Amino acid sequence: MRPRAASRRSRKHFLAVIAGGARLCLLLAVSLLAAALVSQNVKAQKDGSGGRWGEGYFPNLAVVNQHGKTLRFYDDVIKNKIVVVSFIYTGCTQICPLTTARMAQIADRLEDVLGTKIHFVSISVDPENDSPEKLAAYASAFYSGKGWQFLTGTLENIRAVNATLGERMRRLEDHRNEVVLGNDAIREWARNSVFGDLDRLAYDIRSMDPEWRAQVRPPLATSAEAMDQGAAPLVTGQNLFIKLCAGCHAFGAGDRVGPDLFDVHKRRPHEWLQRFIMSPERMRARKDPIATTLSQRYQAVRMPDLGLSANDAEDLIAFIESRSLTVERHTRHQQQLIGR
Amino acid sequence: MYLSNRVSRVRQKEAQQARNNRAEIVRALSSGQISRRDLYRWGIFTLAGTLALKNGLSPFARSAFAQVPTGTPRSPLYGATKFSEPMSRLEALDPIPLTRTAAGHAAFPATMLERNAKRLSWHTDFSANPGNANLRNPVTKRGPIEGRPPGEVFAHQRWDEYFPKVGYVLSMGQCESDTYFNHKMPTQDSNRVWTFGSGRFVRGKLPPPLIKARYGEPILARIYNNLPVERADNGGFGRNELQTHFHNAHNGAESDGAANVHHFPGTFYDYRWSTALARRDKINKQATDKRASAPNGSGGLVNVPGDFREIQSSMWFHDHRFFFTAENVYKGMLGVINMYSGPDRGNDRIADGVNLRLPSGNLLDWGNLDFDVNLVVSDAACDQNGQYFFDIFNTDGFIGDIPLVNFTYAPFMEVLPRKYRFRILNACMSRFLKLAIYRGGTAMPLQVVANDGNLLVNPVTMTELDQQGTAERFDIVVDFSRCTVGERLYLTNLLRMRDDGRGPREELSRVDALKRSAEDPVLGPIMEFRVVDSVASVDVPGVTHRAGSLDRSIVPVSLTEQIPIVAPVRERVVEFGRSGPGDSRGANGQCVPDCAETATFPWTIKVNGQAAHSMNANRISLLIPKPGEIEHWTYVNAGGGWDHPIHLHFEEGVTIDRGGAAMAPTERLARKDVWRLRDAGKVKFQVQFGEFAGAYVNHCHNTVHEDFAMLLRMQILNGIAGTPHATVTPTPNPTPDGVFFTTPEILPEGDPRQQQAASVTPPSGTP
Repeated sequence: MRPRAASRRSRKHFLAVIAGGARLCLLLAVSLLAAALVSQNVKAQKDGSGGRWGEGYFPNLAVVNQHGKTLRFYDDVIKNKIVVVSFIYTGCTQICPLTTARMAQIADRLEDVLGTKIHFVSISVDPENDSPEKLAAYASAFYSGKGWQFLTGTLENIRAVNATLGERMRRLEDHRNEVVLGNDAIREWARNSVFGDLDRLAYDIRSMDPEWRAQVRPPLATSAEAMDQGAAPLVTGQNLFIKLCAGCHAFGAGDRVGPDLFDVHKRRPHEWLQRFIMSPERMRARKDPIATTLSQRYQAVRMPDLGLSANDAEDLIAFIESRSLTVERHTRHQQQLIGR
Repeated sequence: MYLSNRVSRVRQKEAQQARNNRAEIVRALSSGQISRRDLYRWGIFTLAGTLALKNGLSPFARSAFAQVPTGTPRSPLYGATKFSEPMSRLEALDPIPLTRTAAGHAAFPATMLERNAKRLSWHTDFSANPGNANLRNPVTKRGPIEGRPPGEVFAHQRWDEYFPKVGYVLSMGQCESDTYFNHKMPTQDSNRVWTFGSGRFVRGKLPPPLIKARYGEPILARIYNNLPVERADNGGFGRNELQTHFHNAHNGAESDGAANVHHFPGTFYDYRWSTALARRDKINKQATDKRASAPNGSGGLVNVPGDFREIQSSMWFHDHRFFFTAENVYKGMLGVINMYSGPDRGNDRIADGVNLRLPSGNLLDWGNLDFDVNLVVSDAACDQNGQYFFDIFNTDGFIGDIPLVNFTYAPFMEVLPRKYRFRILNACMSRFLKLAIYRGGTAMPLQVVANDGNLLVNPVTMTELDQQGTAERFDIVVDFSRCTVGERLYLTNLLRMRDDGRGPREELSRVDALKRSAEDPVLGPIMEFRVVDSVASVDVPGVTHRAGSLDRSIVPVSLTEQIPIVAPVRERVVEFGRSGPGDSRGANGQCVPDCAETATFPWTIKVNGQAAHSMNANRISLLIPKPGEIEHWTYVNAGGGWDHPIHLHFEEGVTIDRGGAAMAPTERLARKDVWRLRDAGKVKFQVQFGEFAGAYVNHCHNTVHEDFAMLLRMQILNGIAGTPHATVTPTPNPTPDGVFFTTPEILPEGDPRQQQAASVTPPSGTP
């Protein structure tokens, strides 16, 4: 690039030329209509983003939520809202249930603003199979509060909606596993991942609100010194459990999306546990009796194939044992306290 | 991705108008100006009451004219033609001499009013004394003045040993008001192009800057963030938070710019670019090998410890903000660094037995640029107002339709009839290149002397370069001496990309590339060389070089020595983009008898043959337990029509093989830091780690894919007990009010230590 000579056409002039040219080119049916309307082009440069990613970019097509309610995608789902969008399909045997489980964990962290300031939107990439009823069953397995819609609709509508959000997969299993964060009011959009640190993601989501961003909240002053000697790594099985399992399973707190895992190593053969952790889909396909029973009991969401190795499974089982023991001790201690 | 001219003029109009039309119809409906009945009659409403996705209503509707549902109309050129604008040379920045204070800090000259650079970040002082206004962000009045995290973990490693001797003060800012790609095209709005400018809190200036670095002269790069405070003021793409990555220089993780440490408007970050020669702790520790050296400025050399076979030359730096790298680099957040050494000195006259005398000129002792030219090749797209455009929702690959060299639209450059060295960087976001230079219908011989800034053992003469993925560099020597004054030659791109941007589609002949340039203007000629009889020196302004003056440069048959391939301590296999053959469910929605392998994980990792997989994002995937262990790594592309240029940070690998597939002679046994995996291809290389430690990354350099989480964290331990880098580095989390740390999770497959432990764990539990 080089310094420009002083004289040149004014910017206003060529904007006018463009706006005029665009109108001339409209298709016939639409041009009749457009002639009666005020051109929107003038608005384009007003906000910092060039007005690109808001109204007029996102289609205002009909979509249907898990309660069977028909919504306009832009007007009812996006407009002036802060949204966290994920892409799912209920028939997914792979990573998607985990995405939703991680989203649910974030929902817990955002309880105070979910449904008011921040809205979760999970859009099916398989609308032909995902009926509102299926989505409702799927959704209720993960979350029962407000502020999270699961959307389906006609194939062409959903495709058009998803395409604008960057979900342009050719095959179901190619679909986006990251999440899209958006604040329509200021036309700001960003990518993020639910597989990072959940507190960090919760922070990034809250940061989509410029007012929240403007508030000063210093980090704990001690964190720097505490980290100077390097962080102590967690126990391996614990890491895996937090990352892959904690979204759906608890210890001694009852069933969540999946069964409570307290003492599961005593209820199931070790070898069965290992095989099921590694490839649940295969066990279901082979009509393994326990796997089949589990599928019937937890219908909405099946345990996904997480691609774990034998070592990973061993680590997880070891963690389940030690965690169960801790819970048992804790419970006994509580009972003793009460008894006394 | 744009829609090409040839495919459909009508389709382009559709895409351009669809968004407006749809919005207008909806508005008209809601304000009662038209009725649904009208729309039924016009056939653009379906029975379900939804707007049909037809031509003119959705930019993503498939029409008879478009096979690919992408969305960007053709960029307008405003009558600009190729080769109508001279190419801008990159401007070399002046180094600022630094002095050492009694307290061991690095001081800028007093007149600059810059605070000292220190081993520990200024954030450390801020954390200890947050009430001190002098330590606070002067623009936002909140958070620390420096973005580098506090404490020892992000202290500059080996500060005294590689104490900075020269400094640069740069700002990342909105572009100057006269920024454009061609004089007929509109000037860019200040938030469309963000790039580096020289100085504190200045605006950005294209073309990007050039830093001339030499071994043994460590650099302190102070980078100010002078971008708008409101992050939505971004012209539709880009994030106002920076982390500057010096692509594959041998630096501590705190200065690698890819450790999740972005900083905010109003703050600076002090990067210490060590200029350390790799293997300094292992080979030539006493600095006795004069090939491991740097120019001293007066004809002589200063020896440095390290392995001369690992000397680097053509490098670059760019933004690495996670999730925004593609947007930010495209936006202009990049610069170029030429590393100079005894052998690769940038002086083609000094004959001391060490200097290779590659073409450069010789008015200066080192770093001559008169005949040593950086070419930053990229592809751009503009919206209908001629403003720089990026599709932030694209996850396949972003392909532009305006070829830029040094950010000028298809420029021309005047050359003398003599030898030139060109340092070609592919700075596209997703587009791969295959370049040749044509004199009429004849391809010029191109002598390739370096790959990714690493000297080849022997120069390789080719008429077409190997494919060049994003971030890859080729250094070539071209001899124009047989050309006559007045002749014009053309730098030509022969590689056609897939329409979806996922990878290359086919290599074309010159004639076919020329034909296809109507549909994809980044095919065919993208730059013109005009052979002239005199050019002005850029090294010493006022001097004129003339045709026929003596060309003292040579291209020696041997440039360096081969690093031998040896038996490794361990082998790792990293598979990218694993994806199955199709939907795993059968017609009944079940897996019968077995589910197909249809994982959607961005990558998987195996160490020493053990099967394993990794999840995603913020965790450590590969752990390097101690320095100096030679490993063999294999990168595998699972295919599916994708190609990924994979970039390993910090160290280069010696390319061993491609699993039996053919390899270009410029790649065989060459040191590289970015490898194109090819569709369903693989590549194996030898690598070792040393000198510095911390958290680095390893990722796809199709930056659109990188932001799509194809990024692995790699942890290098230094093995020195009691130092912060003896153990896993905590993950820094920058906020406008300061950095907080979290503990990363370590997955077992990337950690050879865990694996040994796991293999001896007895089975537990009661069956």
